[in-house]
Amino acid sequence: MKDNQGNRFPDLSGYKMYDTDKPEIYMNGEKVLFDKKVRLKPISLKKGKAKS
Amino acid sequence: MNTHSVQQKAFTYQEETFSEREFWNRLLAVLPDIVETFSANFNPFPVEYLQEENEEEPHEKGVQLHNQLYTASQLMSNLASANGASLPHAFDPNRVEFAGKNALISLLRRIANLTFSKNTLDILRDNPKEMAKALHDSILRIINLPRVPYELSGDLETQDLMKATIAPYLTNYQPNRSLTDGLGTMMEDPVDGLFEDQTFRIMLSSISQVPADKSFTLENNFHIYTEQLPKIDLQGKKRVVYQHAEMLVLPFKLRADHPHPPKRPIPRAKIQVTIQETENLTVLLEKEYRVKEVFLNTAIHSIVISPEECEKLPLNQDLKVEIVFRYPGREGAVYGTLKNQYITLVADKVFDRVGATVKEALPLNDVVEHRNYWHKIWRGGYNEGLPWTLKADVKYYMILGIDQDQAARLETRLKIAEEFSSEEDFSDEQFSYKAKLKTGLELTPAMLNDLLHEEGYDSISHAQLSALTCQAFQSQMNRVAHTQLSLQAESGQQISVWVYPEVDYQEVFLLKMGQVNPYGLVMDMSEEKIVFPQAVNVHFIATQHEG
Repeated sequence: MKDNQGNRFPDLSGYKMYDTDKPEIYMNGEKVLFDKKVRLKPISLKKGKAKS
Repeated sequence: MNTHSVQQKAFTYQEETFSEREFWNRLLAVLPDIVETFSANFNPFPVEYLQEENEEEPHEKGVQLHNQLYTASQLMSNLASANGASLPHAFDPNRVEFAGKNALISLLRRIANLTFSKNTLDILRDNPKEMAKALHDSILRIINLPRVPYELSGDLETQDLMKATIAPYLTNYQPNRSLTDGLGTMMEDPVDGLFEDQTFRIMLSSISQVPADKSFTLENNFHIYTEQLPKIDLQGKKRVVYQHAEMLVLPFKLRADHPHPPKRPIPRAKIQVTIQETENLTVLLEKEYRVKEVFLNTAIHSIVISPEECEKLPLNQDLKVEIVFRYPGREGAVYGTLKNQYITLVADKVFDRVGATVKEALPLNDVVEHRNYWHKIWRGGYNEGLPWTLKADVKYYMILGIDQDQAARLETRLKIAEEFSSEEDFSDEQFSYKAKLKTGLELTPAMLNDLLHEEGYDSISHAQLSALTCQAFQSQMNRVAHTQLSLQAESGQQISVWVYPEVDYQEVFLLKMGQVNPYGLVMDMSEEKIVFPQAVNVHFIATQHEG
């Protein structure tokens, strides 16, 4: 998708295509259904072994 | 800007669950406080619990002591290796039959006080699981049982190897239940339950004892003292810091707890030093030193690590140094005591802490410039001639990779939890799925370094970048986004889900090595402030492809 910021994908946080008053937006020729922004929270992780 | 390549990689991470952390904090974080209180008011060595000889009932007391230590060891092992779901079962104070909860805490605090320096205990108090592993390791050493790296404890190959080793003994093996029942179980499936059986575990331990020349009986009258070592405020704790790749000397004293300690020296003794990493307790270096004429309360400078040995040890992370002091007694007996002292090796600069945010939420939304940060995590559709919906519980992990130079998109693991169609309801025919989905992106410090230009900051130096390539910074950077996504499409349509992040720019404080004393101990460090990006949000974008 191209817009006035070149290759930048617009911040569509909270966008849902299903909402009837929203315009259709396309990315790489595909219709954008939604953009959901989620906060990253701290997590304690340990590394296991890859499953074969 | 795409100077970095991004590989595809299997998803291998596991969460250390919250319930586990909470559980550990409640149980074990109290230990340092108890030890501190105990030390301030009482003789620090618990002779009434840990002495081997008692004039009234020497044999019974010795057996009781061994049983208590063995039970404590099992308990620590279970706690350290258990997963969240099984924790309440792994440690229910009511199940500790040998002495009850209070006696357990009393015993553990005394072992901790004996075998850890004060600042080491203070470091461990923020990581109860690590404390349990370290305590377990110490207890194994006290009762002369071999230590097993935690990375191997759940490994099936290791268990297979152990089973092959003990196979000749199995003909004599009687599980801790009725003979018929036990044999029946063994014949049906000799694998299941073996490692859960207490009798089997005791038998395994008896097969692989610590070699006799490393065994000792715990000495009650003195302990190893390292409190005189200079400390640096690093990562919120007082730490003993040495210069990396240089000669390292770790001086200590033997201090007597007896009111009238002997004035004559110990004629000859051996000092065994074991350096371990702290996550799995893997042994990195073992050395033994012979010493003569050792006086109490006098500094011993025998522990010397050469520059070549020191260079092979990892930088910028806690290392557990176990010091065992053993000396011969009467009639062939060997007595000893041990202490664990955490140290950190620093080359030049080391990560200290993350400070304030200086620039908020820059979206990495340029699909060309930021392509390395974009991740297509799923694409799918259900071509069954019906509309479909997928309700997914999604976890996206943003991880700082410090073990490799290349960033990686992790594979997407999708687990269908529920699948049903509503064919009975003709008014609303569709396939519906409920699933759990997890995936993520491993970033590298070098890749994040390139993002500094975006906001006009200079890239940080190689030495600064090296200081950030450590577990302490990694634990600050690792994040997860947890959300529910609902995808719905008509028959034949496919949906893709993309993820891209937003980053904050934050102050990060490093410490630069200052004066170093002749023992290799860093005496002071100066602060240095840099700015570095950290992922703080992710966008989940769903797109629909008309099939």
